[in-house]
Amino acid sequence: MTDLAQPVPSPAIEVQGLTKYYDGKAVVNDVSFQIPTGCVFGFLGCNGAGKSTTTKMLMGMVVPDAGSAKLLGHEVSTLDPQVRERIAYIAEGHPLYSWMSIREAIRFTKPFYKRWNQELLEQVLEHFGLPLTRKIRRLSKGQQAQVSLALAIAPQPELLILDDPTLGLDTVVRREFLESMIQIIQREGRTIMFSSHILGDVERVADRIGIMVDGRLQVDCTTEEFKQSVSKLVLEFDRPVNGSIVFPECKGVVGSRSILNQLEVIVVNLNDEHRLLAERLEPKQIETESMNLEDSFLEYTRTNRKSVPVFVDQLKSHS
Amino acid sequence: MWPITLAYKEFRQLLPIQIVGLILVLLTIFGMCGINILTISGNSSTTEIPFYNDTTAQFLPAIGAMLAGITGYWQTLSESMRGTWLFLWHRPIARSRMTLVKLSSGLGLIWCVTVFPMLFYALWAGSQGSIAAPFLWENTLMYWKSCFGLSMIYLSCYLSGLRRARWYGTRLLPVLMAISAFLLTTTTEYYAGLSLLLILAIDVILIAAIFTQCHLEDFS
Repeated sequence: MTDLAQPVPSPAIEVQGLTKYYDGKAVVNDVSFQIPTGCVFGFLGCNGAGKSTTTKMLMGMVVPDAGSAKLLGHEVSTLDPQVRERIAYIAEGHPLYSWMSIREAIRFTKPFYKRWNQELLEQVLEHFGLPLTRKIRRLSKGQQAQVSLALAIAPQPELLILDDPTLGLDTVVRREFLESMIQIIQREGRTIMFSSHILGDVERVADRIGIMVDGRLQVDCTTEEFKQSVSKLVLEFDRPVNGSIVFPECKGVVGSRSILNQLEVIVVNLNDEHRLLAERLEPKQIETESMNLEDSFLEYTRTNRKSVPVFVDQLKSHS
Repeated sequence: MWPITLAYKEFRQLLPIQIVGLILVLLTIFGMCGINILTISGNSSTTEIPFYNDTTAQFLPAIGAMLAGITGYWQTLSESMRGTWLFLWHRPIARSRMTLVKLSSGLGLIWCVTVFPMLFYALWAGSQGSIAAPFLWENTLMYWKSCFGLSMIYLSCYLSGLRRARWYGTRLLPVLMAISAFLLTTTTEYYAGLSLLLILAIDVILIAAIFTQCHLEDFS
């Protein structure tokens, strides 16, 4: 019998123990993860969590102090121009030469690439309604983001890495931009990694999420799994709590706070042990509240010192 | 094709600086010829033989050094401040090759501003009836030396703009070294060959340092 099993494709991004120190402080600390080919990966974290530095290390813009990374199976530190041509990168703030017009920016970028798809570029520019003669500096932030996106996808990359592409955009433009981005980019099954600190954006488009807290990757799982893994136990008492009742320290408890006669406890992977501990406090009522991604993220990162890593087997969770 | 577009970008970005530099060089040369454009009275000062006098030995190298320094810093700091290193370095070409084009463009423009006026002057002075004194190439040795020496100033400023250091002292170290070498090689008429060798050696060291820094620097 012939073995029909398909070979498992190598991950689009493989990161192993990436570490970066600035002034003796680890801004990225031993970060490891993998992004399967064809996946949309949302890279989350508060400002200063280390997302941008990690992304820059992936792109070879920042030299790591330890660890390594592979893009499309190739070491980042020795990335060939041929491999780099298959990867698009939009840096934070959409840096472009502001004195150029859109046409000049295209003329400048095009000669660097062999696989330049002018037709696709024109379609995208037309979709966004961008005038070719307009100077980059005269464009709004949203339009600059659109130009960056158009220039990034024209060489038909297999992997796109976008560092906070919606930073500085208002809600409407942000939503429009993200929807267009996913529609344009992912239609050929490309891999996308994009960082953001806006949860709503990620929730809508990402298959998987990674959350950085204080330079460490604390979460790496599917979006659904994360939503399910973080829960809120609400314990209601017949008297004001005001700090007199404290939930015991236990694995999975990332934080708690008291509001009037309620004690709210944020738990990762809620289990019987947590319920038992809650019952021992003899509350009048115990409720388990589900949380949307934004609430989960906020609660999870707000109490970051006690954050419990959430990792799920990558291949299993992606299948 | 990419080297042409990259060189064109550098040219466009550096054009205002080079125009100012060219105006200063031309004003100095015209001044030496007795045409003081900026003097309201119109009285000309004493006429000198351009490229063979104290003014050539002092003012033109000073203007050239300023121009070279500003060009080197502008090519690096403007990319850092606008964050465009991230855009540029992601193009699928080796950083060393892109750097080579940037350096060639910068150095080429500095040379255009400093050397072309002299060549035009030589052409004019060489034509019949233009000037009483004959134009001799050997008289321009000092000027040529300073033109070659400008490459040290330019490259050191490029390196200094590229390389972030813990404090300004170490960041400016290559510039101080280049200025010392520039003064050493351009203030004496003797040892022309040795001076050129020294300039060449320092240029090679600076270019090697720039290439290394392009790979070691954190661009953010």
